[in-house]
Amino acid sequence: MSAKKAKAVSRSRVLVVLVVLTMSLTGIAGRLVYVQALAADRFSDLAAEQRERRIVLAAQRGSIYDRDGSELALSRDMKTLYANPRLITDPKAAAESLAAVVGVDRAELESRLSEDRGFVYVARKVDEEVAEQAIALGIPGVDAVNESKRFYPAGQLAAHVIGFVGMDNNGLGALEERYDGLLRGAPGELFMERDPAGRPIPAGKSFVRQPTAGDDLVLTLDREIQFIAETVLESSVQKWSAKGGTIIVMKPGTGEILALANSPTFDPNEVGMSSPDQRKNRALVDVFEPGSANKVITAAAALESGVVAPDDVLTVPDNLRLSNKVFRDAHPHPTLKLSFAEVIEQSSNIGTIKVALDLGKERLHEYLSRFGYGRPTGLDFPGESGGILPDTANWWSTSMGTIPIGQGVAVTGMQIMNVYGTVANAGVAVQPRLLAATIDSNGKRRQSPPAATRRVIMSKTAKQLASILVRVTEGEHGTGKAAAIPGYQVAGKTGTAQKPRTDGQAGYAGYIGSFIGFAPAGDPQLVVGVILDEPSPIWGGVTAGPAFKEVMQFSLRHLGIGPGPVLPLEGTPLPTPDRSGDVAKAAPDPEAGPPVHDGTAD
Amino acid sequence: MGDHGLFARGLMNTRRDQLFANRTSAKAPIRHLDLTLLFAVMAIAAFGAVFIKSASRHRLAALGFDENLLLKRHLIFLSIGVVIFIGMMLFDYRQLRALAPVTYAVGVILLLAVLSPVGERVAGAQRWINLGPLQFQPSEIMKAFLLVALAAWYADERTDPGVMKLAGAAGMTFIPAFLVYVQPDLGTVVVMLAVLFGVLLISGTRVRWLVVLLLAGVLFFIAALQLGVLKDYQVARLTAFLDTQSDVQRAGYNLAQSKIAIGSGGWDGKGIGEGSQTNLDYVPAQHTDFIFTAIGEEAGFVGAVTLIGLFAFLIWRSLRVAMLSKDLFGTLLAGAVATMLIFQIFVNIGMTIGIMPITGIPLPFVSYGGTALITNFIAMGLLMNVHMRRFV
Repeated sequence: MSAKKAKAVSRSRVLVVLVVLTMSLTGIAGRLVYVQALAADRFSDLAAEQRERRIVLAAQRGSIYDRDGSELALSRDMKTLYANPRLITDPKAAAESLAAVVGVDRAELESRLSEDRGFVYVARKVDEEVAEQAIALGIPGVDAVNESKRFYPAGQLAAHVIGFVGMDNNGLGALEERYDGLLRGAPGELFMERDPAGRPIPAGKSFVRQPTAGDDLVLTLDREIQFIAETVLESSVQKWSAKGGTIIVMKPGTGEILALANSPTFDPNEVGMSSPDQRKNRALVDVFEPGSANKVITAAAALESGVVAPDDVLTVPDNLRLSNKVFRDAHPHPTLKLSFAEVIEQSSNIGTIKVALDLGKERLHEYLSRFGYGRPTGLDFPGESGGILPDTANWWSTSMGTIPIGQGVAVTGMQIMNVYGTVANAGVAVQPRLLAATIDSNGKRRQSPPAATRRVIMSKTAKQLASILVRVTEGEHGTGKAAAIPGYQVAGKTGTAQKPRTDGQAGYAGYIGSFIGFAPAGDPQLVVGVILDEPSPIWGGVTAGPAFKEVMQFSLRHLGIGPGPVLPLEGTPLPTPDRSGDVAKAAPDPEAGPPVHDGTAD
Repeated sequence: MGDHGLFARGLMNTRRDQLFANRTSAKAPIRHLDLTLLFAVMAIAAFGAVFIKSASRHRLAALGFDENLLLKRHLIFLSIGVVIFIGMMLFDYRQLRALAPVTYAVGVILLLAVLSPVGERVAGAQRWINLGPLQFQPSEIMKAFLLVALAAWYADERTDPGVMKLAGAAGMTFIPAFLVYVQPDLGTVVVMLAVLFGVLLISGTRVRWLVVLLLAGVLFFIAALQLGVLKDYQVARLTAFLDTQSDVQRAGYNLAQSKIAIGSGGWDGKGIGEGSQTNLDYVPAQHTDFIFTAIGEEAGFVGAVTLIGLFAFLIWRSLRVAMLSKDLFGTLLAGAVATMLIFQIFVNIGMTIGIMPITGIPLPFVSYGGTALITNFIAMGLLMNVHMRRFV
């Protein structure tokens, strides 16, 4: 090869290198277009994701007070221990020493500390001394932050009203849930950039937005009355071997609920130890057929419609046939002449049904609806039921026998309380409420607006009803004599209602015994309802009556309520044949008729 | 003219008028400096200085050092490099043909010294010789010595580059490559192979031999992966780019972090000193092999393409020198320098954006590393030398 030729070959080969150069750099530039232009957003997000850390600074959850400012729920600062596993060189040893101090499972902790993450919990919400001991172990990457823990100083007191919170202080039941938005406050945020080991870096960007504490709630509850209500309920449930029960105390004029007790109950400090049945606010969530307590609506409708007057005398036979069903009173009796007032006083099924037949189902339905059946009370409580009020189109041929005496419709304890509250409040229904006021983080108190009101019956009708209901506790044959309070006129009504079977079959099994009433009858200041689930004996007058008396008596005294004006009794007592024994203590006659769909009254 | 020195006869023993006449003659080397090439090199080196500071200051500060420590050292090396660059222009490059075996031998001895107890072991690799405060990396300088030796081996224009020549060249490359492989420093090994290939290509070696060599190289690479010749971490790094999402935390970590940094820079970057990934030290070896990630993040696509454009210009000027050279030796020198630059730039930038495997190859004039910088200035000096003396 000549020198010239060699040079020419070399130069052509240099051009090959030039081509390689062009291709290489074009490839790189093309790839850069992808990485830095087309996929730039994705890479930016990835960068931010691994670099930035946002820590939510939980706001102090608002406290909950009773109407007098006693603390029912508050938040306490606790320490939460966490670790950065990337800084822990020996997870096994670290887990061993930490587990001994904070009392968590060693193996579980070891597996958490071995994770390839920048943050794991070691233990949440432990006492400060425990946290100090754990940090004193000197394990790198272990530190503590403040975390507040919900604490209910009064234990199970008003647990069903207050509710409880989850591990992250989120309201999970009752008012803690209902007003979570207010109580929670606005969380703050700590933003920081961190290095690959998860450590915040001093030169990085960071900012803090302080949290705003949640509002405090002031409830309408009265701690003392609540306590008595719970105590009385518990002893009644025990005494009468009931499955459970409810006691509600309410101010009829304002709808304020002073006490709401359920049995069984639970301690919100130990939610994990309780069953769903214990945590359930049965006064608002469960429905039951009200039985004779419902007769007050039938009576109100009949009086208001002019179908009957308190003194009108009715012929009350032993039984009454409607369609294929024979209805009876609680106890067999000869045909009686009773004034309408006495019908209610003695809780006669037959008398009530006869009046209802004159009233007609449309008007009866109208009044049931006006008294609030079939829709929630407006308390807006989590899980609150509206009860069951069938349309008249769906009423059975026997419904005019059952519904007037409170079978075939279903209500919550709060709904039936509202019925008596309406009568007590001169015929005006007041929406019940539990929240009296809120106090924001600046200490500003915001009173709850006055409850919505709605006229249901005329004032005159309400007065007539009140005087009839006084006969229940004072009348010679009153079914609720056990509820009478010396020195006070008490108006109320007993109820002994059959419970629908829960095993999926038609028919009834077991009884609900109740007494709901108000006092002083001439100027009603308080409504108290006592509802017992399957007491033994079944009679509301016997079982719920004394509990009513105890709670009402205490509440009247506690609130300094005097006897008030005396209400003249309506309905002239008529002579009645002698009865064998005390009505209230008589056992139901097993021969009294088919147990299915016959209203039982006491 | 017997003396092709910068000032024709040297400063010491020449009369002033003669000196002046020679300096102003149309063919005087001093009048044929490629100033644009000089400008490109300095612009690239400036990129390096800026981003070495950017990529190292936080880590240095965190360790309690002066945050400009590495920048200062780099500038010292840069100054030494410029002096060597000038030195490399003072003599006629053709004298190197005779000197090549000597420099080659010196290089091999230095590589042997590295493996001896004289060498210093850092992070599992024995690559350095400690010279007081500074470290010296013979494998880098060997690239230049090998380049010169290979160019000299093929510089005879009268012989056809046959198989025997090829075998000799391969042997000359194998010795230092093996010594570097033992250190281990896989990146430098492949650069040496690339230089060999470049010289063979430009020497006029037949295409069929080049193809055979390429195939042999590929087969060798596959065999190395399969037979466990390479260490596990080397295999993992080499193959990580094939499956980008495989293992963000381990073998794929460098690549994933590297792409995140460059990608998050977007069109115009986050600003010098403002790169969060760079500042927070997410990318390993960022002031050395992965310095392009700092450029990509902080200077964005615009900055990255500017740098690549400067490199393209530099290599184009190198290839132009190869074309213009008066003799084959000059063509081979310049062509080999260009090949070395292309290969290093492509593999280095390619690995940061996921189109090439991760190998420890620095980005010329930009990555921190004294010996590499000096080697690159030697190469530039040779290039300029050939350019200046293309008429004499």
